[in-house]
Parts: sequence; structure tokens; C-alpha cells
Amino acid sequence: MFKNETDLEKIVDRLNIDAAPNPEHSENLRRQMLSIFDKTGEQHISQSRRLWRTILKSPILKLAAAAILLIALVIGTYRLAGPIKMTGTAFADIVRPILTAQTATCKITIDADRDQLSETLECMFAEPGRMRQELPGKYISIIDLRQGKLVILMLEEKKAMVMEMESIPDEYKDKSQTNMFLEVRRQIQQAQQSEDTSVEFLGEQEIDGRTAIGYHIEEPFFETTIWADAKTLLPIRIKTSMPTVMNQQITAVFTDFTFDIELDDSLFSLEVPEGYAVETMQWDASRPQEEDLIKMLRLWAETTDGKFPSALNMNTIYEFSELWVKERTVEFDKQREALDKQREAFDKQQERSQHLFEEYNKLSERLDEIQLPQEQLFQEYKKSSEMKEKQRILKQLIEENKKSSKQSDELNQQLEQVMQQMKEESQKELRHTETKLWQAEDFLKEGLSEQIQEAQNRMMPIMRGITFVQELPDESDWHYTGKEAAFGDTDALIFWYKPQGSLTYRVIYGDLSVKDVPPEKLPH
Amino acid sequence: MVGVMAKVVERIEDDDLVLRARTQAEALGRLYERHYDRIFRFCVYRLFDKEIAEDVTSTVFLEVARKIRGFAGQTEQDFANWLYAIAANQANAYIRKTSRRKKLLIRAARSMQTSNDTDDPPEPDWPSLYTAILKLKPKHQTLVTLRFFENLPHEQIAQILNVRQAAVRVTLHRILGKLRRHLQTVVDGDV
Repeated sequence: MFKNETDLEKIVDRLNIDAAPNPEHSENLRRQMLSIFDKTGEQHISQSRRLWRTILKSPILKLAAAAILLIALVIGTYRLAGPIKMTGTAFADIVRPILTAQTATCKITIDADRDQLSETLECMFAEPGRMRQELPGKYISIIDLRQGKLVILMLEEKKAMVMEMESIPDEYKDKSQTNMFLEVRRQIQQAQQSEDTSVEFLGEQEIDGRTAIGYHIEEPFFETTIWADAKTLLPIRIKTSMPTVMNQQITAVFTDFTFDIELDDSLFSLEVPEGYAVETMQWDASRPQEEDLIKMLRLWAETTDGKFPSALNMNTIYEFSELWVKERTVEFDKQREALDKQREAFDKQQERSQHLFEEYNKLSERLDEIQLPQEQLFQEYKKSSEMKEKQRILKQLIEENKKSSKQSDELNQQLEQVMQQMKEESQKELRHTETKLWQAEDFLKEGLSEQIQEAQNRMMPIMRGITFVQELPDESDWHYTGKEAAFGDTDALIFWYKPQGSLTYRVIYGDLSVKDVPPEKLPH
Repeated sequence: MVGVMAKVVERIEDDDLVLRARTQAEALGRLYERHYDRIFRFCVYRLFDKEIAEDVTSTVFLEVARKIRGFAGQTEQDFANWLYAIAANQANAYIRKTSRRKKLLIRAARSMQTSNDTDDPPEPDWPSLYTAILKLKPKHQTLVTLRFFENLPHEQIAQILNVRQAAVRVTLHRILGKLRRHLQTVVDGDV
């Protein structure tokens, strides 16, 4: 029989187990396996749930997801579109349902190229200003801009995050273009209005089994391809690429469209179901002002050692989110390092405990061995009925006892010491280490809501500052030259614009002071 | 020179074999060839019977075919660990059915050698050892198979079973005693 691991290893080595495979089975199975692999190829993208799983597992991706979510929402809140200039071309006919639908549903598949991640959301919207996104089994988010409220239900964690938007300007609330296609709509509208944007006709192609015509829209930071049914002109597939975040190209593909169908109001209910832990946050959704731009420039300078953004456009928001995520990465790395150290300490203590445990076992076994002859003699004594025999055994028992008592005492003493050590080990350090370990692990498992709260605190000023600039009319004649300026430079003009009806310009300097300056004193 | 280059190319290709296997049948085929034998062997150790082991091995690789596109591992070691984890689950699922477990026990009992005539305790043969292992909890059975039959290091076993390395060591230490007792009852004839 074996006594320890090494013995058992030797015994197993000597066993002559026939485990030779059958080549015929191997060949048949290979064929079968590859055939199934081929069949699963087409279903892959829609079935994959790795994006969200990875996001939930990875703190860094959580941050990025939180930032992107906020960016999307803020763009949604402020970019409520200007007048639509229909050009009367086929392009306008194709995009009309997207721009004018009262209700719509679709699927959005979001892909992140670097991590080969993919996730499909089910989306629906209903005018005025309501939208719902669902990742089945994971989360549901519902936004109602008229009520100024966003509810995110995290289904597995039974957590609800309620964001209350304060001071939404009335003109935004009444706009009839607030829906999940905000980003796509924004691009289409920009394509129709802006000189920086090009729209290219892609001709006819087979898309999802239907003959489709396509257009490609390109603007400085976004690209969108729209494919529509050649006969009905209804969109079939829209693919939009977002700016790179954390060296990752993120694309969203919209498919399975339905337009102007009846959607039950309950789908957009902002009521949090029973049993959910609710966390409420406030969100300033008022129209951004000049001071928001100054606040944004200050935050940027503080984050980048006295620099200003290279430009003031939508990409600036993404650039900052990347800076912020990197900053958080450093924090997480520190925590991760601390956690690894704790784990190491915990493992060492477990090893020590195990060693003590083994020592305890050995001592007990030795004690049993010493006491065994006495035990046997005692049993013999009990069984024996003859007095003489009893006396003989008793004498032997006394001698045996004398012989072993010293050894037993020593062993008992050692046992007591080991027990004491085991007790100390488990009561003090181990518990302490375990607690630290839990704390560190908790930090790394920080929930999405905390990340969003943090994202809100850091990203919101940036978004509001950029939105202020983006909303300035063409007549404001705004200019930005902050790329080369240093924070604190009282002579450097970094931004100027002409408020509506004013004869002078508002000028922001490198020290973020503001002055009214006549046009002739500004650089040409 | 050409031979060296070919080896270098092969090495580079091997490095991303797992990544390519997510999308390329050829790469998955190569991984299969490299790992089929060991998974089959593991199944024989867990299930005693070669025919049953073939069935379970098939289930393992068909599951791989269905799930490889979503597999997040990067290296071949990750892939091997994943295979072992699937194989362990499938084997345990097979054994979990009482009737199947009984069938395995009967087969093992029938193959047991008769005891020798010497006074030394007989060294356990494969059927006796298997019978004793089958008396452990399924997870512990997997642990014993991975450690003593597959000779995997504690670290890899911990990765496969998704537990701490220290936990593997402690558990092994504890179940060794149980296995010894079970084996004694098997050798004594109390199957």
C-alpha cells in the first residue's frame, strides 16, 4: 500500500494500463469535429457574448465602456440635430426612415477589433425621446429625455442605476429626433450639411440575401456605410466606425430594422422593479456655457501637465477618455500588484498551515504507535479471566507505561506546541491576510455603477466644454489655438468667439482669464 | 537553410495556432492531432473502459468545435487546460449516473487479479485502484487522475480546476488518506 504521493506515483507508473487510441476513431472524430466547426462559422457573431463578459470581468474595459456609454448619452443629449436639408437624391430617400421614424427597432452588434470581441444589443426607440437597449440576461437601459431620466438595470447583480438629468433645455425635450440612431443621424445630417464630409455612392450589392444599394459617409472622425433594399429603399444594414479608444477600433452594425411599428409604453417604463438596489445620480444637462469650456480647459491642463487639447471637436472627448482610462490603468496596476503580493502571502501562510497540519498528523501517529502496545495489553487484560494472567499483564502494562511515559510526555508537549502555533496562525495572520485579500479583490471587482459615477465626474466637464464649442453658430467665428500654448501663459490667446449681437470678441487666455477684445486686436 | 526557415515559419505558425484555430479549420485540425491522444488517455483513466472513453472523447472535441470561436485563451497551454476541463466535466457527467457508475465498478471488479500468496500486502492493480478512486467525490477523482496518471504539476491542475495551487496541495494530501482506506476495503474484498 502507498504511504505518500511519491509511493502512489510509483504504483501508478507500474500499472500497465492500455490507453492506446484507435486510429479509426481518431480519424472519424476529426472529420466530424471539423464539419461542426464549419457549420458554426456563420452563427459566430450573433452567438458570441464575450464582449460583455469581458467588459464585466475587466476593470479597464469597464472604464472604457462607462466612458463610451456616457459619451454616447451626452452626444445624444446635446446633438439633437439641426434642420435636415433633404437633397432630393436617392441618399435622402434612404436615410429618411432613419431620420423621421416615430418608432423603430433594430439589433446593434458592437465589435472591438483588438480583443476580437462582439456583442449584440436589442434596441428600440419611440418618439418623443425614449429609447431602450437590452443585452438579454445582462442589462436593460431605458432613457426618457422628456422626463430627463435614465435607468440602467443590471439584471444579474440586481442593481439599478438612475441618472436624473437636471435642467434639460425645453427645446431639446421637444425635439423629435432623440433616439438610438443619434450618432448615425448626426453623421447623416453632418454629411448633408458639412463641407468636410463626403458621401460616396457604392452601387448595388447583395447584402443579407437582398439586392441593396449603398452609400459611404466619411467625416473627420467617423465613417458610416448604409445599405438599403434596392426596391423599398428601407435600410438593411448600417455600419458605423467610432474613433479609436485604447488602441481599439470599435464598430457598430445596425441590422434587423423595423420602422413605425406599435411599441408598448411599458417597454419604456422607468420604474425600477422590486428587489433592486437603487443608486441615484444627478446629471447637469443644461445648455453648456463659456465657463464650461474654461472648466474643461483647466481639467485638461491639470491632467496633462499644463497642456491644452490639440483641437476642440468630438474626438477631443475620446482623447480625454483614453487619457483618463490610462490614468486609471496605473491605479489598477498598483492594486493588482498589491493583490498579487497578498495572494503570495496568503499561499505562503496556507503552506505553513499545511506544514503544521502534517507535523500534527505525524506526531499523533507516533503517539498512537507508542500507545498501541499499552492499548493491546489493556484489551488482553480485559479479556483475560484468570487472575494470574491478569496480574502478568498488569505488570507488563506498568512496565510498558514507564517505558513510554517519557516519550509520550515529550510528544504531547510537542503536539501542544504545534496546536498552539496552528491556533495562532489561523487566528492572527491568516485572517488578517484573508481580509486584505478580500479588500483588494473587492477593489478590482468594483461595479459598473461606480465606474460610471467616476466617469461622470471626470468626463462630464470635458463633454460640456466641447459641446459649448460645437453648438456655437457659424457667425460666432470661433478660433482655437491652444495646441501650442502653455497653461498659465497670460499673453497667449487660446480661444476666441463673438457672442450673438456683440461687437467685441470674448477671448480666453493661457491662464484661462477672459477679456472682451475688439476684432482689430485679434490675430489674423 | 530552407529547412531552418521552414522550422522558423512552423514555429511562428505554432505560436498563433490557438488564435488561428478560432477561424481556420486547418489550425483546429492541427491542435486536434496534437491533443487527441492525451484527452483519450485521460478519458480511459477516468472511465476504465476504452469504448466509453472513445464516446466521451468524441463529446469533448465536438464541444470544442462548437465553442472554439469564442475561446478566450491565447496559448496552447490555455487550450490544453481548457480541453482537460471539458474532459473532466464530461467524464464526471458520465459517471454521475448511478447505473453507469455501477457498470464501471462491475467491469473493474471482474478484471481484478486474485490476491497473491505472500504475507506482504498485495500491490494494487489497475482495476482495484480504479474501484477505490471511483469511491471518491467526482472532483477528487479528477484531481487524482490529473496528478498521478497525467503527472501534471500542481500549478496546471489548479488552472484546470480553477482553484488555488495551495488548495490543490491540501486537498491532495487529504484525499490520499481516503484513497488509502478505500483501497484497503477493495483489497479486502468489500467492493
